[in-house]
Amino acid sequence: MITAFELQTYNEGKWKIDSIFDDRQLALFEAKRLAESGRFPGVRVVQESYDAEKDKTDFRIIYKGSRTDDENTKAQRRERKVKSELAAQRKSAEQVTAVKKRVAANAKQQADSNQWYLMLALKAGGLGFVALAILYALHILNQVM
Amino acid sequence: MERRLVLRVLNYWRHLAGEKEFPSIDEIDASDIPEIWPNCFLLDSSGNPDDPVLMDIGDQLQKDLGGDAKGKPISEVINESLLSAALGHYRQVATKKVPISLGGEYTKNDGTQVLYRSIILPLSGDGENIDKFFGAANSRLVSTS
Repeated sequence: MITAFELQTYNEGKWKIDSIFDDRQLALFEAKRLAESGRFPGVRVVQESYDAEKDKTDFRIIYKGSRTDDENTKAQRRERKVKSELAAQRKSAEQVTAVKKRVAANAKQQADSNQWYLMLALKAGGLGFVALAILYALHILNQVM
Repeated sequence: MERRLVLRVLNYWRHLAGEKEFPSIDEIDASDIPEIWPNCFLLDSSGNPDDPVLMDIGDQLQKDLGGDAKGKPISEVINESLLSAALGHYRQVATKKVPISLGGEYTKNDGTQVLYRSIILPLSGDGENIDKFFGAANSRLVSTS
C-alpha cells in the first residue's frame, strides 16, 4: 500500500494541490499552519492510498480547515453579542420610559388637582359676590320702598 | 525524522513566492536561512531537464558526498548518499509543479542504514515553467540496538 498526503487549498472556486507529503504529521501540521494564516478560504488534506494488488486508489479527506467557517463562527458570536446588547438597551429604555410616564402622570394629576381647587375657589368667590350683590340690591329696594 | 527542516524550507519558499505561484532562483539567498543552508541544494534543469546540474550544495550534503559536486549533473552524484536519495523525486516535482516531501531509508556503502527526509520545491524564472529546484534533506543513522 502506497500512501501520500495531498495538501490542497481552495481559492477562486476550486481546490488546487499545494504540496505533497508522504508523512501524515507533516501534512497535517502544514495544513493547520496554512489554515491559521488565513491566506486561503479553505485548506484540506486528502489521503491517497494506492493498493497495488487490487490496483485501486482510495481518497479520504483527513483534515479540513476553513477561514470561512472561522469567520462565520466569529460573525455569529458578534451577532449574538450585538443582539444581547440591544436587548439590554431596549429593556433599559423601556424602564426609563415607564418612569417618565409615571412622573408625567403624577405631574398631570397634580396640575388637574390645582386647577380644580382654583375653579372651586373662583366659583365660591363668584357665588359670594352674587349673593352680596343681591343683598345690596334688596337693601337699596328696601330703602326706596 | 527531523520534520522541522522541511517545514522551515517550505515556509521560506512560501515567503519568497508571496502572491506568485513560484519564487525564482534569484530570490533564494543563503544568508536568509544560514541555519538550514548546509542541508540545502539548488538544481538547474534549464539546460537538460533529464539531468539537471547541481548549482549549489550545502556543506552538510557536500560532506556526506565526500567530494565537490557543485556544477556537476546529478547523474554523477554517487548513489547511496543523502543527496542521491533526496534527488529521487525531482521529476515528480517538475510534473506536479508543487513542493513534494518524501522520506525513506537507504544503505550506505559501508552498510550502515540511514533514515532521511527531503523536500524539493519548484522554482521558475518566468512564473510558469519550472526551470530550477530548491531542495533540502537531512538524515540520521538507524539505531541498531
